[in-house]
Amino acid sequence: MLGLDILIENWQILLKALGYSLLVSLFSFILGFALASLFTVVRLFSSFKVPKWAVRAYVETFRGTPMMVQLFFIYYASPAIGINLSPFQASVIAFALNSAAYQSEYLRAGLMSVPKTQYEAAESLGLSKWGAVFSVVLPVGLRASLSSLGNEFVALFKYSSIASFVTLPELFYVARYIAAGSFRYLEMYTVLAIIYVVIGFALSKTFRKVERFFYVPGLMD
Amino acid sequence: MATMVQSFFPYIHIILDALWVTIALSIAGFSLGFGIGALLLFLRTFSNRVVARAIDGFIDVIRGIPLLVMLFLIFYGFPALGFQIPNMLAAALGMGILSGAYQSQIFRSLLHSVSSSQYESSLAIGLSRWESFRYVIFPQVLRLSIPALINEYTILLKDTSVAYAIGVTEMFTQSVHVSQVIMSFTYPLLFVSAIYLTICFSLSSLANHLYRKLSYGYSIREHIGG
Amino acid sequence: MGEVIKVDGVWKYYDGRAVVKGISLEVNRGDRFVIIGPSGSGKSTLLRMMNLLVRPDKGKIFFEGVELTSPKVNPVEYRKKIGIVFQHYNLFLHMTVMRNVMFGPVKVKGMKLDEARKVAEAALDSVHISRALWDKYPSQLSGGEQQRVAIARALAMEPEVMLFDEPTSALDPELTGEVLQVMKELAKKGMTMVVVTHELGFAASVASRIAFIDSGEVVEEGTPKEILFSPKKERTRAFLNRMWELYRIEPEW
Repeated sequence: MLGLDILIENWQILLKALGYSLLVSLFSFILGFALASLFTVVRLFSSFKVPKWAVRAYVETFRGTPMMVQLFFIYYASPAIGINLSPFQASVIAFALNSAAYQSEYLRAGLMSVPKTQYEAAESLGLSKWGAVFSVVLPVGLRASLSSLGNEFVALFKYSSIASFVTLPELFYVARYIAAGSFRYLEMYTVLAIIYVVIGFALSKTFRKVERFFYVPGLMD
Repeated sequence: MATMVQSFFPYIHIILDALWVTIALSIAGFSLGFGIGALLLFLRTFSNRVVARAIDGFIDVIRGIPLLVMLFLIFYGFPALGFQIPNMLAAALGMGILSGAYQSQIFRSLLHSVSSSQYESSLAIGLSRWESFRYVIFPQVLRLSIPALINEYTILLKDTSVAYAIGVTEMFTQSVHVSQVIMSFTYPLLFVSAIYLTICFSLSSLANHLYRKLSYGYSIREHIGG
Repeated sequence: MGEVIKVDGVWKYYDGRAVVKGISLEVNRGDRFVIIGPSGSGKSTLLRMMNLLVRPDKGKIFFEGVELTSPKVNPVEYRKKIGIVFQHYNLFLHMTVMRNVMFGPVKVKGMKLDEARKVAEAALDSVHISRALWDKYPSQLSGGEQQRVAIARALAMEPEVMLFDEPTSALDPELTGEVLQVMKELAKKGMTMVVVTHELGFAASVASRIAFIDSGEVVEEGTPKEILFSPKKERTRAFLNRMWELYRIEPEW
């Protein structure tokens, strides 16, 4: 009853769709993290004004426009300049570009929360500037951004549902297909909501475990 | 290139007209969310631990539902229960419910900054629980929440674009329609981007200014509803 | 000759305002050089210039005859020989006590882990940090314990000289004793020390020389007897009177 049979009947294609949702989120998170790291280095350590300004403009632009627009732009406007992307590629690129803006904000906030005196203490022992950054500023600053980054991943997972608009067969796309075929909209979308909530909880829990692994008394609380 | 821009010009007003739908939808969603958020805060503050835990759980569940799924559940799912809802209303409802969960969290995170003696002293002068919440506690929480609420509004504004999925003719939907007519997505999408950006950037600058002015340690953690 | 640190006519400006105005002084091997003076007199800045954490705008700093301020010299090379202890301890927040002390020897001197551990154990023992605290994080320690770990962290580098920047002024009064005790023991072992402090009792019993600094200048320099008990300058006398006053107000019970 109530959707359970939908789940039983379609579990294989739903599972595959979940795989797509998770894969898109994971890839775009990692790619976004790499970009965000680069941005953060520019924002905090670059001594030139132009790149700093460019990164700021990037972050404001991607935070100030809807992800829908970004995704549609990447998928539907790129053929105009001769680039043809698969739905998966387009989704990963769009989400990564978006996530990079948010992640760089979290990284920056985390790194800026490290007291300057920590850096000074490392320097006073004879460490070079970069030695101090890598062995003291990064471990403390990354811990401080850990929980925001976890939330960002869960947010990406939820937002991956819009990839259905560029025909990526992820969870939402498949659920819509099943609902339309069986006319059981209420049950299917309820089941879908439950799937998102349960997987979202599981992801948050995993991230909390990661946080606990890196937990240091007196930091992060 | 120039001809493509020119072919877009006659349609600009279609997008601009839809800006008002976008703004109306975001304000409706935000207002509903505000009401729900304040109600959840009130219920949570004055209920025993079990009920408070249940409310927290409910909020967490709601927050776990992507906006897109929420909109489909309301627009395509509810008719099965016997009531059909116009798409604009469905969009406002879906956004409002999700935003309510987020707004209650904003309020809750700031509740502890209002000292409990405020509540005790308002009870002591003879106010009821509701009155002390309404006249003493909530106004103080609200004042501190303003910057976070402004950010929450910008999120809603951007999220109205998801209502494209259920055919609400807001700005993004219209820009897609125009794109399909002129057979180019570039300029219509750039054009709406500029509008979203202008509004969101102005509002978030205002919020940052207020954060600094109120200068309390509330982390600027945005959520995205999807 | 036994000169370890030489400060030669250094100036430092912040926002166009001079906070250190042409100070010169010499710290010889085995000296316990104590710097006293009112808050904001530039004494912390002066101390931080000695290992070039703060770079002077004018003037020279020498360490064992090498000019650290020379553009050809990389001060990073010399910092490992100059230990510094900060007012707010500045222990590495994400490392245990043991890791904090091992950090310098491993990262800077390239020591092997087991070797560094031995050095760290000896350093921690010398500042009386009990074994039970070795695997704790800084936030789990009292201020006095944190400051003693900070001293151990500096000692583990086997420095030629130790700089102390108001090491007890962030501590609750009942915790200053344990830190001063450790510093006295260090002095007894012959460590060359430069100490910025408000603890006149410590200055009187440990210092070999004292400099009184006010508004960025050395007003007077001499033995503890000369400076603390028969100052020549009116400014020194006024400062000391205020300080003794504070001491007397301290209740005895």
